[in-house]
Amino acid sequence: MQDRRGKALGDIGKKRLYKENWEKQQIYVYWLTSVEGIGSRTIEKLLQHAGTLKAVYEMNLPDMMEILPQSKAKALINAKTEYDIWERYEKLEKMGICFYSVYHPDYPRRLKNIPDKPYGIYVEGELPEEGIPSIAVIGARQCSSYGRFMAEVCGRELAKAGVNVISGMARGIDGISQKAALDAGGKTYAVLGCGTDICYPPENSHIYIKAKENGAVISEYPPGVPPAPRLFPRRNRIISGLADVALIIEARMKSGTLITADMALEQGKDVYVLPGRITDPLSQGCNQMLKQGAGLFHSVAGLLEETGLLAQISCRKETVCNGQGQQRKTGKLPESKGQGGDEKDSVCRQMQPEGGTAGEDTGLEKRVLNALDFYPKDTDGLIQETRIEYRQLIRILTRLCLAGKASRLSANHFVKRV
Amino acid sequence: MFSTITSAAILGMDVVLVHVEVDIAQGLPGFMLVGYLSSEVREAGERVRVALKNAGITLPAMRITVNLSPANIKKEGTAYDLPIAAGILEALGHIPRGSTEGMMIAGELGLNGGINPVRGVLPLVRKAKEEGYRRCLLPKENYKEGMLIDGIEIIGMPGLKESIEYLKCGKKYIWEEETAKEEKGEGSLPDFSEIKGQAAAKRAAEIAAAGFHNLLLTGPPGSGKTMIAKRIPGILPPLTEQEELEVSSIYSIAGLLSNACSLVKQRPFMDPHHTITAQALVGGGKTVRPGIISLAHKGILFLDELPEFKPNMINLLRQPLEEKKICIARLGGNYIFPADCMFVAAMNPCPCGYYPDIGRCSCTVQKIKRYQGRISGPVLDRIDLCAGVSRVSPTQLSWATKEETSACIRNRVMQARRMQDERYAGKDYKYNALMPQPDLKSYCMLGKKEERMMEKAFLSMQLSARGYYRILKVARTIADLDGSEKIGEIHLEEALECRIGGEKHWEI
Repeated sequence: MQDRRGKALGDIGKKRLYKENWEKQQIYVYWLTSVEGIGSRTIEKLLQHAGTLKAVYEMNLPDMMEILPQSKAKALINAKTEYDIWERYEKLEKMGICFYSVYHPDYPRRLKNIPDKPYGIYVEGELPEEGIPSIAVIGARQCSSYGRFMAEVCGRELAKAGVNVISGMARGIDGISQKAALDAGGKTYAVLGCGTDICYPPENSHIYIKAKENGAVISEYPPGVPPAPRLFPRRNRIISGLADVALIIEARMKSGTLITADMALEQGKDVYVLPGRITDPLSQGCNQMLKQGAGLFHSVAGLLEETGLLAQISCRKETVCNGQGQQRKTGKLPESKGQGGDEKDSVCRQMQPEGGTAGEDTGLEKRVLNALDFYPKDTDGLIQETRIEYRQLIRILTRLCLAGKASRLSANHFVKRV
Repeated sequence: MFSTITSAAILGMDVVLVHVEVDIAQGLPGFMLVGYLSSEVREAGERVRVALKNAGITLPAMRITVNLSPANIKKEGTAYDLPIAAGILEALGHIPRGSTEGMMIAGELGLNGGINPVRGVLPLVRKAKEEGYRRCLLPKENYKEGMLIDGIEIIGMPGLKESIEYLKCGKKYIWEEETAKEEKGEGSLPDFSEIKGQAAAKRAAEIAAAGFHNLLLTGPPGSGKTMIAKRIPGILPPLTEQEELEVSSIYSIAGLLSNACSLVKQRPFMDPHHTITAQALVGGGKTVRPGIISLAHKGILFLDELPEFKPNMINLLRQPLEEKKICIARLGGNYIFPADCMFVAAMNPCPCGYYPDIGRCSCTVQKIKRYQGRISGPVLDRIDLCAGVSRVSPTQLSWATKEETSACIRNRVMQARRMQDERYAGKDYKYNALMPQPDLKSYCMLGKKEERMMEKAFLSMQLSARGYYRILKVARTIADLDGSEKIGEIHLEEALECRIGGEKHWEI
C-alpha cells in the first residue's frame, strides 16, 4: 500500500491484476475525466494523437502541450503526479459511487450510440436496465399549473407502465415528473449538472435521496464539482441519450428544453411534445416543435404504442414471468396496468376535472369552474366571464378551493386544480 | 426686582409648566440665562435685548439673571422669548406687577420687536386650562389654534409694543380677520367611483376600513394600488371631536398645523418615501418629535413598495402596530406618542411585478422568494387582510358600468362601526382588529356548520393558529358589515379569500 505513491505511478494498469482489458482502461478514463475541463472532445484529440489510453497516460508535459492548451496539459500531468489516482478511485467506491467508462461492459448501450458520448459517468444507484424502456420527461423550470399537472400525470403513468423516467431533477417539470414517478413506485434516473454527491437544486433533496434507491443519480462530472451554468447544457445530451424517447411538457421559445430536444433529434431519438395553446408563452416552444414535425403527445398509452415501447414492455414482461432470474439484477417490475386502454382512460379522466362529480356542483359552481383555467385568472376577469357578482363569486371560489377543485395562487388569482 | 412668568415646555406629547424667573440687580452688567437650556434658548437673550430696544425700551446697565424652572428639564425651542421679555418688563416696572397673573405666555421674538408663531400651542393651551390659568398670551398666528380650546381667554399679539400696551392697560389688539381659505372639505377627497373594476381590492378596503384592519395590496405596477390606498380615508368614518383634538395636538407639536386650517378635520394619510429614516418613521431626533406613524394617528399609514423599505424600517413598526403607541426612550427621558393608525402597504408580487401572469413574469422562484422574504413574518402577522389588485385591461377602463361611490361604502362602514361601538362599549378597544384573543371566543362564536368548515380550511389551506384567529376577526367585520350578529358560512368564505397569501408559487 505504502509504495504505491513512491513508485511514481509508472503504469497504473500494473497495480492490480486484471482479468479484462476494460478494467485497465477504466482507470485511465477515470484519470482523464476527473480533471476539470477535460471533456470527451479533448480525450478524443488525445487518443487520436497517442493511439491508446495507455500511451496518453505516458505522455509527458511538452508532448501534451503540443496538442492541448497549457492549462489543460498541466492539470492532467498534475493529476497524475500529485495524488494517487488509485486511492481516489477506491475512495469513489467507498462513497458508493460507481464509475463507468465507455469500455465498461455495463456502460449504457443507449448512451454509447450518441455522438459526443461521455467517456465516463459517475453513478449512484443502479444503471437503467437495457431492456426496460426509458422516457425523458423534460420541460421548463417555471411551468404553468397545466404543465405541472401534465408532468405529474406523465411521471405517474409512465412509472405505472413500467417505464423509467429520465430527467434532470431541475425545478419545475423535471422534478415534478420524477417525484410523481417515484411516488407511483417507479424508477427514475436523475442526470445532474454537478457531482453526484451534490444535491442541486436543494429543494429536490427528496428526489435525490429516493432516486438513489429506485433508479440512480448520474453525472459525467466527478464528485465535488459544484453546479455551474455551463455544465447544464452538456448534461442534457445524457438525459436524451439515456432515453428512448424524449417527452417535452412545456417549453418557451429559445429555452434549454428545446436544446435538449434538438440533441435528442441529433441522437436519433423520438421527440414527443405536449401541445398547448398558441397564446401560452410556455407552449410556444412546444408548438414550434410540433410544427417542425415532432410527435404529438396525447396520452401515455398512445405514446408507448406509437413508439413501439409497449411491445417492448409486454415482451419483457413475458420473459420475466417465464424465466425468472435470467435478467441481471431483476428488479420487480412496477405494477403495470397492462392494457393500454385503461391508462388512456385514466389520463383522460384526470384531464377532465368535471367528470364524475359534475352532479354535485350547482349551476353557479359549474359556471365558475368552466371559466377557471390552468393559467391563473383574477377575479375581475372571472366576473366578466361568469357575470357573477363579486361576493358570490368569491364564496364559490372558496368552496371550490376547499373542495380541492381550484386553488388560490396568490391574492386574487385562481387556477383550476385536478 | 424679581418677577415670575409662566410658560410651558413640550416633552413628547406631555406639557410641563415652566416658570421664567427674572431678577434684575446691581452688579456687573450682564445677561445671564440658566436652567438647562439648549442653544436656541440661550440665544433668546440676544433676541430679547434687541427686540426690547426696538420696542423702545433700553435695558439698564444692571445684572439680569433669568432662570427657567424646573431646572432639570431640558428647554428647547423659541417659545421662551416672549415670557423672558415679559419677565424683564415686569421686573423693570414697565408693566404693572401682577398684570401677568394667571396668564401663560409663549412666543418667539424677532429683532424688530415682532412676535413669531411657535409650535405646540394647542396642547399648551389645553394644559394651561387644566392648570387653572385664565389667559394665554400668544403670537397672532397661533390665535386660531389657541381658540380651539374653550373656556380660556386667548390673546393674540403681533408685537412687543402691542403686548406692553395690553399688559399695561388691557388694550387688546384687534386685527382684521383674514378670510380664511375654504377648509378642505370632504368633497375634495378622491372617490372610489373613479376606479373601474378591482372588485376584490375595493371590497378588501371596505372590510379593512370597517374593522380598522391592516391591509396589504399586491399587484402589478400601474394597476392602481396607490389609487385605492388614497381613497381609504374617504370611506373611514369622520373624526370625532375628541379624535380631531388628539390628531391636531400631534400636528401642533410637529409644527404642521397650518393657520388656515387650524383643526385637523380629515383623517391623515401619510405615505412616506422608502428612503425614510428610522427617526422620521417612528419619531425621535435631537428634540424628540412625533414620527410619521404618529402623524398618521387615527388615519392611514401607507407604505408603497413595501419590499423597497429597508427590512429594519419595517420591523420598527412591529411594536407600535401592536400597542397603538410608540415609546421613544432617550437620554432626556421617555416620550410616548400615540400611533393608532391603520397600516396599509402595497407591493408587487415579484421583482418584475407580473407574477402570477407567467406570460409576462420573468422572475425565478428564488427571486420571488427573496423579494417576498424582505418583509418579515412578524410584520405580515399584523396584517389581517390581503387583496390582489389586478392589471386593468383597456376594455375595462372604457366600461360604462357605474361604480359605487365612497359615500355609499362609507355608510356601510359606519353601520359596521356602530355595531362594534355597541359591542365593545366599556372595553379598552373599539375595533374588531384590536380584539384580543380571549375575547374572540365570546364575540366570534361559530355554529357547528361553520366550525366544520373552518376545520376543513385549517387543514387544506395550511393555516397557522394565528392565521385562524385573523380569519375569525375579519369574518366578524364582514358579518358586521352585513349587520349580522352571528358569523355565518358566507362571512367565513369571504374572509378565507382575504387571508394573507402569495407564499405559494407555481413551481415545486
